[in-house]
Amino acid sequence: MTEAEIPKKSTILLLEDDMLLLRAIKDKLERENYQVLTARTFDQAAEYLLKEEEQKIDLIWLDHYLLGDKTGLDFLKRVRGDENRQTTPVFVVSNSTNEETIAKYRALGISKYYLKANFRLEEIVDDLKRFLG
Amino acid sequence: MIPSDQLNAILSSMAEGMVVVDNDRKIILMNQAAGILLRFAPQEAVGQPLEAVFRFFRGKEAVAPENLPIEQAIRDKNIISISLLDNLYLRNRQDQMLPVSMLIAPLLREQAVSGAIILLRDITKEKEIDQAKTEFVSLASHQLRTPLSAISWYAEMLLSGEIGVVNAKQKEYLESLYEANRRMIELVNALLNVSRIDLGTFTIEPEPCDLAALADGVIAELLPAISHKKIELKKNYDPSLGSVSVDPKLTRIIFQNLLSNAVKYTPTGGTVTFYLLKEEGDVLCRVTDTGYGIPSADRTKIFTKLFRSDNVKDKEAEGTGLGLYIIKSIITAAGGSVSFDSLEGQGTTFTVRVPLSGMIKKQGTKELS
Repeated sequence: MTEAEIPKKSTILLLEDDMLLLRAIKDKLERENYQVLTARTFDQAAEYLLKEEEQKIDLIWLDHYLLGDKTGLDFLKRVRGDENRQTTPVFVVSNSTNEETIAKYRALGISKYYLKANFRLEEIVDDLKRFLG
Repeated sequence: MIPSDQLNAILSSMAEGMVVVDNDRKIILMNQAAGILLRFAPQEAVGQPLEAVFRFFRGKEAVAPENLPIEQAIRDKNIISISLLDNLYLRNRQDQMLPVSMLIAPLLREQAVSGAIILLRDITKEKEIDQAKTEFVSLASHQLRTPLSAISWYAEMLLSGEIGVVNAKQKEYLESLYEANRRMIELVNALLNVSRIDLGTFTIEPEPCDLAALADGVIAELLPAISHKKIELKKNYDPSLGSVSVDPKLTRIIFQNLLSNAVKYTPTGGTVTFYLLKEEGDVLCRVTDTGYGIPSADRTKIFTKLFRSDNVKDKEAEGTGLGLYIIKSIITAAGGSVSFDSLEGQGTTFTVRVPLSGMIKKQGTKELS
């Protein structure tokens, strides 16, 4: 079976404003055979939510700071505002350690919060694999 | 002798505030500049006890009269200098809190102390500059984390071989790159912690914790370095310790800094012992090593930001000079203390004490990491 024929596992919506990090995470997840949808702004990511009939989203990888005015927190509010997305797993992977911000994420319901610089990409992806089964 | 009218002119023209107290801490003289600072007419202040005219605060806590630097100056017959770093404020008659620097000298008459002379200066401007510096460090460190994460993750993927086979030499170079980058991340983390300490924005959230489990976790993380240097690690925990109310993250930072210092500054084949004990109403974490020790000339400086002793700089490139500053700041804010004993060439013992009743809670906006 060629690579193209291997059925893709789950679909991950990846929000990250930094191009280099976005590419690193996308490449890593694709090598693990996940389908990856990428967005650097709130609006780009919101478009994927609207088109979810075409592409179901199994997990959201969310950075706090995004391009533009809106943050990952705004996006999570949008996600949780939809009654069909109350339990979509969300991994917040950010370099922000502001406690109030973290508390707001937790209040909206997230699966994990990582401080980017302190974790190997592999550790986060391993957790994600366990999560998606 | 200077004529008294000339002396009065000098006193009232001085830019710095001057307050003189007698042995009963009653004001016997106050100049114009001090009056403006304290919002108190000098003639009205004379004869009044010092604390009726102004009070001192360290950060936001009132300083008890017996702990005032004036007492130290009188007791030790020595000049005491209070700078920006001492974080001392005075509250004047209008309830304004002013950051101040001070010089306090004992007032000597024929060898006997008859009071103290206090020179006061408002350092609001310096404080603002210091604050701006700290905020800059915080912002810059935060911004550095993004490119550092990118370097780390790309190096990690190359090293794992998932992109293609890496030959032995390439792997060695990549490992060096990865390690240097890790050190930079640690430095940035430490700088961020220091800026949070300096801004007073860090939180202390005590909860019942199993200190032995916390210590074991830190030891497990450092095992690679411990075995690399063939260091014998001994543990000595009081089995009756039970759980103690501490902030687990901060306690981890303290344990981690104490133990990694001991490992870093002990030559290959040495011994490090980690104690958790109870003593006179305190819980003690004590780490002893058979390392390089602290030169006696450096004893007063080791808790200072960015200070590293010359005797270890040559031997050990790693080390930020921030670890002990962080420990001291955390433990002081939490109501505990840190002390040490050391003999150069023989080893060092650090002891951190926390009351058995636990750490003091502190509301803040940022966690240390």
